[in-house]
Amino acid sequence: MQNAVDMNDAPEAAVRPLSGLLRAVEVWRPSDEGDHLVWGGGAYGELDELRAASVDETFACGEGLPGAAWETRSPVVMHQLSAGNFKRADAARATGVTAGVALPCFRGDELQGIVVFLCGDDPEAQGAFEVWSRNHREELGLSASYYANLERFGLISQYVKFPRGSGLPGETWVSRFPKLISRLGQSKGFMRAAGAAADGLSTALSIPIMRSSLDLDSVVLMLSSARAPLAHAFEIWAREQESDSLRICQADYGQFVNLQPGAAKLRYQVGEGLAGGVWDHGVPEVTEELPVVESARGEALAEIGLTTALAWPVYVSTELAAVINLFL
Amino acid sequence: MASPDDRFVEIFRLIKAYPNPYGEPAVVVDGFNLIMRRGEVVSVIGHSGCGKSTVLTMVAGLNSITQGSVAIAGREVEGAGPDRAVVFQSPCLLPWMTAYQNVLLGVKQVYPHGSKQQRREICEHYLAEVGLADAMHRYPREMSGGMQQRVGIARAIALKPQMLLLDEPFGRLDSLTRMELQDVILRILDRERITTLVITHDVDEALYMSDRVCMMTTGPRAKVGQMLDLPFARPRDRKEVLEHFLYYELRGCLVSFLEQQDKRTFKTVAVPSGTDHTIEAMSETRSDFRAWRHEASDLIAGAADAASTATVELMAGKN
Repeated sequence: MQNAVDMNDAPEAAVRPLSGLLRAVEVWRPSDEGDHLVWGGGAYGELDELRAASVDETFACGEGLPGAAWETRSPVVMHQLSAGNFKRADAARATGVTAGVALPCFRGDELQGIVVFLCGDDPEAQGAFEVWSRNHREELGLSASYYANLERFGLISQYVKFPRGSGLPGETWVSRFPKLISRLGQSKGFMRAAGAAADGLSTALSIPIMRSSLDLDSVVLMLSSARAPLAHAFEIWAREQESDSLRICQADYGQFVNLQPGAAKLRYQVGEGLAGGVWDHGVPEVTEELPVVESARGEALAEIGLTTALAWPVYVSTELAAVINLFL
Repeated sequence: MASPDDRFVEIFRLIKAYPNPYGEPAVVVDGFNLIMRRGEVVSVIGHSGCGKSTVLTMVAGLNSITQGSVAIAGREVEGAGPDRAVVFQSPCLLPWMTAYQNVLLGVKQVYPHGSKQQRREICEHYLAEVGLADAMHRYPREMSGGMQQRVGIARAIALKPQMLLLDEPFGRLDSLTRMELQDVILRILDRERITTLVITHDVDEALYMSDRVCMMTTGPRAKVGQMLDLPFARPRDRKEVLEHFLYYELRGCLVSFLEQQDKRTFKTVAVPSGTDHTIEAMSETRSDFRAWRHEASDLIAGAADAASTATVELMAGKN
């Protein structure tokens, strides 16, 4: 079934992957010796020079963007990649990549991989990455952020704090489970809805980064706009309680709403599809052959040109809680 | 590293529930969390009926706590006590006593071993602080509403409380008096370093008076929606605050939050010959199902023709 869809038969892509705010995504994995990070896959859209500079690159703990996330075990946001600690500064400069966000993925104390998002400086792009960390008052405050053309929203967010259980970051802290909110502007669950609506933000994905089963490091929010979405679709997969199969708990398909009905009925066994594969191996993965990997809905995905995806596991200590899929 | 002063007041998962007519607990406040630094002023804003005053009265010990706890200076508090002074919208002065005697009443309780002279000095000091040095022997009937509220403030602060609780203290005053009293209180708070919780409806008052604003979600099941840190320096200067480059951005943030919490949905429902199962279908996902259904039924009962279509305005809630 893996070859049910031939990638060569896919029509001219309706969407160009990684053409908005996100210009590339990549996964860095620990080497066999475990002493450095090696390239574990990536999707670079049209940035061939960045791909070429990445595939043979390695990072020691603390080195560069992925190494910093490994060392700190916390999300890292790096601005001005062409001038900072970014190891591939020349390639970043040449390809117009300006900022990067690295999310660590640990299973207990064992590093499973680092997911890196690389953003461009397109003046039309809108979106944000926010890292909300605990302060001494047991509130979540903004500790790092990247805002693309969202100056006002970003400015006010610096003054906002969320106690445990409040707002999207606070709720994610309590549930220790990723959460999606669509139609942000109308949402009562998203406390900054008015600001989000004013700046055209449409979807929020929250991801808990845990230090241990009860100890939260931070909550990462990915804020996506309808005009230049961070991803064309977001899915959160988890294991069904009554069976061993995996199902989609929450999803946002943006303009591709016709994917919704099929997705609601979709059930995967561990190892099946992108989410099932990540669940099986326990490590982040990037694919540029999504319709092949997702054979059950490959045709529908190929038809609209969704070929590229990133998926990564969300661990609470050593327990795999969910897998997040982003169709790019 | 956090010092004890950073967590001077700890309000932890405060819950207030009352039994409804069906014997089920109706949760008014659902897990209110707040940690305050010593000397900090925090305003609580939210819509009428969201549970702001319920939180304040629970912290004051005037209303029982269903679940959760309040600790001040590392010690959990139970019931009312002189360590928490409250100023309500109406000062409730004893009409047969002068301003001085009203203040002295509390001072006697808090300083039982002080001499007459010491107590007198305390009363006179705080009455002078609130601008009543020349009116301390007047009776409430001889004073304006603003002056009476000044006595109420002096009475509360003379107790030297660890925490001051202000429940819409300027709600009944004209705007000039309100601004004067805001400055009076801020001057005293800056000097005495009293940790203060202010309940208010007024966005500008919250911005001017506090170090942080706690925005409550609309009830039932109200809790803290988000906190807003304010960048204005203390002591406060009204002109500086109003001219701060972020003032109107922060004000907009508060107003937008309140508007968002006030969102209502307009649902058009067909009323099939006097039955209410349409309403049941609409409300089946709600936890406060019965109350909601009755609210909807009452509205629909008001429609002229039972077979016609009625537009029903209902809170969107969590469904």
